[in-house]
Amino acid sequence: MKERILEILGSALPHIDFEASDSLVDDGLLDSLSIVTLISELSMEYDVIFDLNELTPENLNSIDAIVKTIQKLQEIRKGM
Amino acid sequence: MANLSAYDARYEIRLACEDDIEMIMNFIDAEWKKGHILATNRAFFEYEFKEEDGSVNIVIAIDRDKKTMEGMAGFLKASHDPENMDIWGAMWKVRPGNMALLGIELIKRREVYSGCRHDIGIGDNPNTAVPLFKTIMRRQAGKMNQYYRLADTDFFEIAKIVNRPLETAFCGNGKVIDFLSIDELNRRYDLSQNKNCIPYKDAWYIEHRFFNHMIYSYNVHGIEIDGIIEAVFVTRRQYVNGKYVLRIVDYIGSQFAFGEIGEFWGEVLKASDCEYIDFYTLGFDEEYLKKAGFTRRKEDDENIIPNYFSPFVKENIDIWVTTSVHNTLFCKADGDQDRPN
Repeated sequence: MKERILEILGSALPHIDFEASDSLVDDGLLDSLSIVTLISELSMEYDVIFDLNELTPENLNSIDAIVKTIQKLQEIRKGM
Repeated sequence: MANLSAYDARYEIRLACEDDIEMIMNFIDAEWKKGHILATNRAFFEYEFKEEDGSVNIVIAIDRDKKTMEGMAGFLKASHDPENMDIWGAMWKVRPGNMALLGIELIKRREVYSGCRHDIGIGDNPNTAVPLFKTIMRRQAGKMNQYYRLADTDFFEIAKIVNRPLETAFCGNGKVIDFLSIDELNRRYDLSQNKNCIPYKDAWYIEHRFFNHMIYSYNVHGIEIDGIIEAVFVTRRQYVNGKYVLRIVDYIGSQFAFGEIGEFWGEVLKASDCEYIDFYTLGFDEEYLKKAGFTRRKEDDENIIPNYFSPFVKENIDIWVTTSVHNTLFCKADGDQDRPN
């Protein structure tokens, strides 16, 4: 999943190196409009809905955190 | 909550108070627009945002280390009814270089700190704010419709008319009366009957926003049918280049009643020397607007019905709105849309 997410985000947001930082949000590398793109792309690919409460810096600060967030959202969807 | 701690660790996020006003005005001057009326006119700033108890209707973010203001999310109340208070967002800005989604965090706090029933967006930037609201807040977004009715002339200086619309007004049985004060209005019409409407506009709002506006002069009217006031609407005459236009800026109550005063608008156009009457709205039943002789400006319309007058811009302007509630009614004067710049 990590490789696929990197592929998607690399295509949609080529100016951001998602593997280079563990503080993408805190350091301002991932800005608000980039997060809109990220949500749109990953929602479509994985058929998940981002709850507003999941959109925290902690959940988006690194590629590993993003992967975990998607997995968590998939679990929530399965349980619905 | 974990999501609060990241922002709270870096910023002090709170409702502003009177002591913050100078700092906020400086922030608007630096980050919004140099010389903006809300950066230069303290009395007008206080008219817009300050409550009688001294609180200021703006959520601010202060960087804890730098001690600098980094963001703001203002709001304007549609009522002072604590149970049914809807707000419109106004003056939403985060200085570049801050944590992503700080702006969204300010909106979330605004909903909590204001105690509002609904937080409504009007005049949002379609390239920045609207995608955030749609994707992250999952609000519905749309453009307000602009309706207009032209004077019986072929010479237009403010508008540009390429194709004259063919709408014909229906002569209904509505009678328009003037309200010169909120007391006069209250005697004839109970605004509280609209508590379930979104937004709910109470007597405090109508008095503050229209009867007591610091700069603009508004006319408040009622539509009487069979001796009963069925609706209240507000107009403002706009002067530009030696000519006038009449703007319908607010509407409360029965939409059916609007369709009963087509003749009135025709008389107004003859008597007031206005080129046209316009009405930006969304959520209003178009049937009644057409019945009163109004036409909707279409997408890519060759006709131009301007919206900006200070300075005057001869262009069609789209006003974007966002809401999380289906039946929200939007009007031109909602939020800070009918405001001097």
